[in-house]
Amino acid sequence: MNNSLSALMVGLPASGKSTYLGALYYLLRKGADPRLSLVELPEERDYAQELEETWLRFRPFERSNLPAPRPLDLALVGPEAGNFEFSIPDITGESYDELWEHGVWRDEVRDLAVEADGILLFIHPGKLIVPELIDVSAKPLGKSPATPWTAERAPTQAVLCDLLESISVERGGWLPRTAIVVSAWDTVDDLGIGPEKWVELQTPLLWQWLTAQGDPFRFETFGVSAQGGDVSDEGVRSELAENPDPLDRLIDGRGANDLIEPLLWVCKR
Amino acid sequence: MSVENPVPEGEERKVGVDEALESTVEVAESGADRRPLALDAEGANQVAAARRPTVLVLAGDVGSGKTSVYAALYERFGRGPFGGRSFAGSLTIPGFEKRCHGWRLASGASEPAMDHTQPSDLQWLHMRIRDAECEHPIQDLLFGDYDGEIFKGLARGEEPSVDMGFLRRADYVGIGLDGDHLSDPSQREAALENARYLVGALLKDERIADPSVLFLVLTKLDLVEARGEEHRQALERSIHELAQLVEEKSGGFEPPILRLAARSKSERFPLGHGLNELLDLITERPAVHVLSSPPSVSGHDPYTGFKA
Repeated sequence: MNNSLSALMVGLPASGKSTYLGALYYLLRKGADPRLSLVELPEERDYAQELEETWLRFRPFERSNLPAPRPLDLALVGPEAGNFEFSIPDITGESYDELWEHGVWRDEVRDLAVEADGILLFIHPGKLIVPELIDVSAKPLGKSPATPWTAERAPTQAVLCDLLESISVERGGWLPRTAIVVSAWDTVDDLGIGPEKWVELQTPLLWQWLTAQGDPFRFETFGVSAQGGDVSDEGVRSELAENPDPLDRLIDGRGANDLIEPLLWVCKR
Repeated sequence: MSVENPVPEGEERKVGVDEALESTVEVAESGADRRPLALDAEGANQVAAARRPTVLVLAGDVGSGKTSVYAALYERFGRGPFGGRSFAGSLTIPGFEKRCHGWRLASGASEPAMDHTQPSDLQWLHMRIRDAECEHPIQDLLFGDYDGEIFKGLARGEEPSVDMGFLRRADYVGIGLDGDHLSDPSQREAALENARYLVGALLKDERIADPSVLFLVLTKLDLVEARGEEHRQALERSIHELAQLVEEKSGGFEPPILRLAARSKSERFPLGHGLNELLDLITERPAVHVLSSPPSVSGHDPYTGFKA
């Protein structure tokens, strides 16, 4: 493994990026996973601690008003991975909204996209917009004209394909290893399918995009549950708080992956 | 609209192919919305030079279903691979999304509808597809989505209001035949006459590079079927008459005939009915003009044929 690696987090607002980072930082700091842990606390750790605290307090991660990516640089060590510096800045979903809706790259995000050694693309099942067609077999209940198209209403799969296209263009036509992270996996694991099949069925356009690229592009699909439940629900919060070990919130349910897996995978060389 | 990046003084700016593509993608200027929706001729030209796409133009009157064909192709891929092919990307996803909007619940409409292409719309849509087994390379496709008024004028012998160089570069030109009109006795003859004029206009003065790029596309097959067997047979006679006309005027080329129901209200015709045959046609035989230079036309790029 290289001594210095960086990952680009990609995802629309509320897709689970910050939750993942908050839980991941706690997990690494506690040294709870033998495969990877922090060598030392980062010198600049304000934001990491803020994320961690938000996660520990079961607070929903607010939409960030800060447009710039928040740096998160970690010195990591693991028996297979060895020692390496890992940079995984938190990038607001709004930055990606802007890219999709207005075609505008924030300079800092563009730089990160160009330099990243791997990509973590987040999809939240509860935030999925699907391209549902008007049912032509049903008799319409009166005429109602179509509202004009706006980019905000676009299906998630189209937006994510477009974001990958945009990143690819910036990188001269190729993408690094890309982990597709289905967040809040515990909310969909009762379907009896794994994350890979879920992405194929729920976001078929994205799935085709990913599988059609071929060599040398590599992608892998992961389902992670970093929150433990819908923390905007007081009942869920109370239930989660009864468990003394916060790490028990990292549900390892059917077809689920732990938080370390996508990270290790994008770092693999 | 070109997007320029500042270059330090005295330093030569290096532009890669993809960067060049990006810089020539035109953006829609409506209020704060600056998102590129499709490609203008310059953007299409860049794609053509960099990726050697197969270029398809559907020609036909306003409302003949040209845009619906492109939109249905994208919408169908949005539901999974089909016809043994997968969606492999697009530089114009917003353009496809906008065109599909009227078919979706998100539009708030009670019935699916397709907006007519306007002269101000950016005309070129781009799509990459690949065989589902990934045994062959990705293929780039460019679709010319032009306002039907242009072809109406062409059929009437009017001087085109836009540069028609794109027709010379097209590897495939489908003549869109409105199945609804051609199967309606009160409209059939007029629709047929217009189609005859359009065939004549397209084959005149080398407007297309070679007659073999032509094919006939019957749209709205579902409406034809709904009219019954008698009208369907009459329509088939009309189509074959048009095919014969192409054959006569082209010196023996028999144009393929496709029958599509891109977005039917009938359950008998699933979304994108017939589009796999369109993909077969435009991808399974080599593009006609990839290896040979089309005749140069003043003001046009000699390789791509788009207006320089």
